[in-house]
Amino acid sequence: MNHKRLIPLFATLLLPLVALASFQRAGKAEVEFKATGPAGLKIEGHTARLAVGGDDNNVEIKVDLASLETGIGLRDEHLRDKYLEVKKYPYATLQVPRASLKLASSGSEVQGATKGQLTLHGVTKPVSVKYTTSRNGSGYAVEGTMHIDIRDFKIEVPSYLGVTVKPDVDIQVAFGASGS
Amino acid sequence: MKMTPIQRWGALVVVLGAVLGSASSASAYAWMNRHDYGACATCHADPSGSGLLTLYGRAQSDLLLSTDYSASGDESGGDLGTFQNFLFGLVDLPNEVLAGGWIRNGYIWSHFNGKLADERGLFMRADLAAQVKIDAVRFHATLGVATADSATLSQRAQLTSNEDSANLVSREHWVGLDLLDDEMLLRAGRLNLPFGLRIIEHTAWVRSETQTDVNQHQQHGIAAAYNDSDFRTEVMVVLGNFQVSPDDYRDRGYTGYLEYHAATGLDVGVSSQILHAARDLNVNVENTRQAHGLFFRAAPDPIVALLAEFDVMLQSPSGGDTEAGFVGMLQADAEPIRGVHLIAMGEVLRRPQANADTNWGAWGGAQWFVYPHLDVRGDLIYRTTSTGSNDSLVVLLQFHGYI
Repeated sequence: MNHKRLIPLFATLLLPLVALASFQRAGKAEVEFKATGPAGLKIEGHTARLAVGGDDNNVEIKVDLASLETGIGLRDEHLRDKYLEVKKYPYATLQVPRASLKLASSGSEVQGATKGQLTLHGVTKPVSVKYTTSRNGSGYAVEGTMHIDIRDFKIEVPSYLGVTVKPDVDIQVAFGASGS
Repeated sequence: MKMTPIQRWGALVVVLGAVLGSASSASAYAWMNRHDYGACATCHADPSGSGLLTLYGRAQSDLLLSTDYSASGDESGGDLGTFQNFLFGLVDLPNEVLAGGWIRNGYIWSHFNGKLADERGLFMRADLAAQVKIDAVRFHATLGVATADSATLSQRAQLTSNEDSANLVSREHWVGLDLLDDEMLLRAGRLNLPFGLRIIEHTAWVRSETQTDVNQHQQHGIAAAYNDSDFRTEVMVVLGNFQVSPDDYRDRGYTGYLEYHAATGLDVGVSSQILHAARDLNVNVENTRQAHGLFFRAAPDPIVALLAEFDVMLQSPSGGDTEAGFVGMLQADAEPIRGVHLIAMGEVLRRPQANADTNWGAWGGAQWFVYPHLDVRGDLIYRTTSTGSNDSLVVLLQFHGYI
């Protein structure tokens, strides 16, 4: 067998992994959390300050918690200072094993689920992540969701003027990434 | 928002002066969904909105409603303090007790067919309200005063019946039971009727023609309300307004709405009511009246909010045919500066009567939430019929204080 003829084949098979090895953010990003409370109370927080990186083994998504905004300044202040304690724990970090990720080929979309390690408020816990990737040229669009119980991360359950927020929080992350 | 001590005491003097001079009003700001507060029950004791505020609601009044005088425009930097609490924090109530009071006074100029027909001061509303909660059980009541001049817009809530002087009114009094982690509330008593948009403009046709305003059209009955992050609903079995008599005048039936939180800043709902009276107060014969409709609240961004409602009305008076009509409104509320609202509203009405004319209305106004719990408002209200035979123009100035 002519081994030289296999080189293009291996190169094609390995291309996604090569791209993954240098996965980095490109374009817009959006992180959103949704919490609920009694009688229909709904709180949504947003930030665009997200970094994507990692090493040979893991993809790492890092969110600047001090930049989270919920639409009310005082609530943001309570969120940052009293509950997330961002001066001590400025980032939330999600690490996902590279090998567990499925990336879309050009023009297609792939959905998957994997486990990751979320570090929040100084506590690292395993979390389940559902994600979708789509590819357009060399760029990827990535969307992921996860559900956490903030008590698992030793975050005090927020309560203000008789309104106590439920500890279950939904998190959505969307960002563009390049594999060049 | 943080105010200086001088500003706080200035506001206190203004509002207390108003209260002592006359009295207060129930707020219902359906456009609060611009701040993603689609549900009402977090801020109001009434799960469908308006009236007595919770402690959390009082805080939002300070944080979101009134003009921010801080230089940075950022109210962060510390807790609110107690100024927004009952009686400006001078009285410290236990957590189980909510209390408040409203005064809404104004001055009105009424023109018909281009001529000034009437002008007068308006004593629009002066109520005190309190709620006590013991475990999951709530006891809630309002008590106020209505002058003889305002009788046409308050008489169905009267407790006394003085023809030429002031009367006591109680718009709401009920007992409630919280269930399902406070997502459900069962109530029995005199309640605001759940139907359509709960708006402060109680003379808007969608409220006055369906008889579901918060000024006097409360009725006695039993209601179940449910609120979660996706839905809010309240359905009421109406047993009648026991503050009017004889019993023939009392409505029986149901009224309710269901609203779905479709997206951030977008809520859509349906309403329905069927009420029967042996002797309808409006048509003075046995009558069944119905209203069924749609409404939505949309806030494409925090500056602009749109409210719309359209209801089909049916009326089946004894001895007559069932007649159909409709009523609708579209309101745009712009808040270019926090606390300052520019309001435009269009209305349409065709009463469910034979040969009824189609009426049109246009509102233009401005409202300024000067301080927490103190706002002023001016409106121009033009209404006409398709024949142009009964055009009216009202100029209305009002202020509203809450303690």
